[in-house]
Amino acid sequence: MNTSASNASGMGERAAILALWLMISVSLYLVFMWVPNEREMGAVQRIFYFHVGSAFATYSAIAVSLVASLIYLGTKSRKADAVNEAAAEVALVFCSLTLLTGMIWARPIWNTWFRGEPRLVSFLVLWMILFSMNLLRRFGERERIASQCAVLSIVSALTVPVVVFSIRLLPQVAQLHPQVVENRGLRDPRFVTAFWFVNAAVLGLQAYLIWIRTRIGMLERTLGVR
Amino acid sequence: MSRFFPLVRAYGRLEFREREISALYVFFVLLLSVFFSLALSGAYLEAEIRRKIFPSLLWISAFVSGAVALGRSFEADLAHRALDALRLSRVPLGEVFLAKLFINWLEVAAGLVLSFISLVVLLDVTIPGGELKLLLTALLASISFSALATLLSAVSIFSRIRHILLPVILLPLVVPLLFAAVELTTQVVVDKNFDIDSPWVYLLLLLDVVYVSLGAWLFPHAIGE
Repeated sequence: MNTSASNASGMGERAAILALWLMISVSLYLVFMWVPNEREMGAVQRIFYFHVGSAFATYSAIAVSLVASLIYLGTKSRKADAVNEAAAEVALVFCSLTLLTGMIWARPIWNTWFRGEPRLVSFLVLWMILFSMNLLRRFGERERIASQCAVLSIVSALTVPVVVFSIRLLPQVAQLHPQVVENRGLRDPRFVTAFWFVNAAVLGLQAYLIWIRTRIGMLERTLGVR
Repeated sequence: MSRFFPLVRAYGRLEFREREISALYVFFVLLLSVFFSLALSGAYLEAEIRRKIFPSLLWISAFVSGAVALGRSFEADLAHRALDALRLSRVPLGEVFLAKLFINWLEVAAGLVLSFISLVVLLDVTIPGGELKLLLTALLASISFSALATLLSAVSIFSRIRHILLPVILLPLVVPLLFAAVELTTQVVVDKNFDIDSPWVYLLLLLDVVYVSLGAWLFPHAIGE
């Protein structure tokens, strides 16, 4: 065993965890202490930073799942399957967070927990797709589970943009969701700084969670538990 | 595609032998339609409102009953180890998928026609013409649905909870189909302004091509080649 290489990777891992911890701490400071209250929505607007970050993390995890699935089907690599499993779980977590933070935001602003509105509906459908992916992982047939989950991940990932596109075509659905990023609504530079920093921290957290879960998955496979 | 027609004949004969199960599927479709009409009877809805909700009820009935019925697509193949035999023979598994897709599509189409007739009768809905447009919508939506259901049936068939697993993994993915089918049917039945150039028509065409191609490509992996 190469002791110096394992020491180096251990130090690298600790450095990455420390950096992530610092980013998250700074993000919390920026959101709760540094940015001013939004003029119209007040303090509840602060949830926006975590809400958008979670949405980006969801899409990013789905993309990781798609790539891992394609690699698995081509190479039958156990690691690719472990990454697919991890990415599907992490995507479900962040999709749940996006829905929850959106509902917490919507209640005081729209006076309702949920509206039939494009982004909300598309994330609800996305949540159902991700839940079904994880369900298959739990209840699928053990010998073929890796291939079958890869198949469902590919079909699901390719259906996600179709879901988003088709919901925007619906004529009766009013566009209520704030178009902050598209309409360049973040005028104060402090909002912009906090927005991108928190997004980076959340994406870093997502990557770390996928990495940790992949390691657990590989251990399970090595021990024959999966 | 030389083995496509013999496979279709073989699967067709298999379905005919199990026609009592197909009869149960027919009864389930009728049962759903009766449930919808009974649930709405107490609301005393006006004719115009019944016509507006007819497209939604039609496609919910078609997709839910299809998801339940197609769960048994590969049961006979599994029971008699026919999938193993096909894998060992040199039949391209993509052709097996297409043959199974064709038979499943016939079943879904039959369920859709039955849903349509029973809901029109039970809800007393007047259809103002546009039969060809309805047929086009039904054709495009049923092909995508059948392709997706056939592929995911192969994924779920090996699970111990396959009968509930297929509807659970299939129905969320069918949402874009549901939107497109309901919108186009509404354009024919309610708005009377069906537009062949509608983005929904192109969406269904795209999904037909994507899901049939994906199915033929991924089917060997789904059955664990």
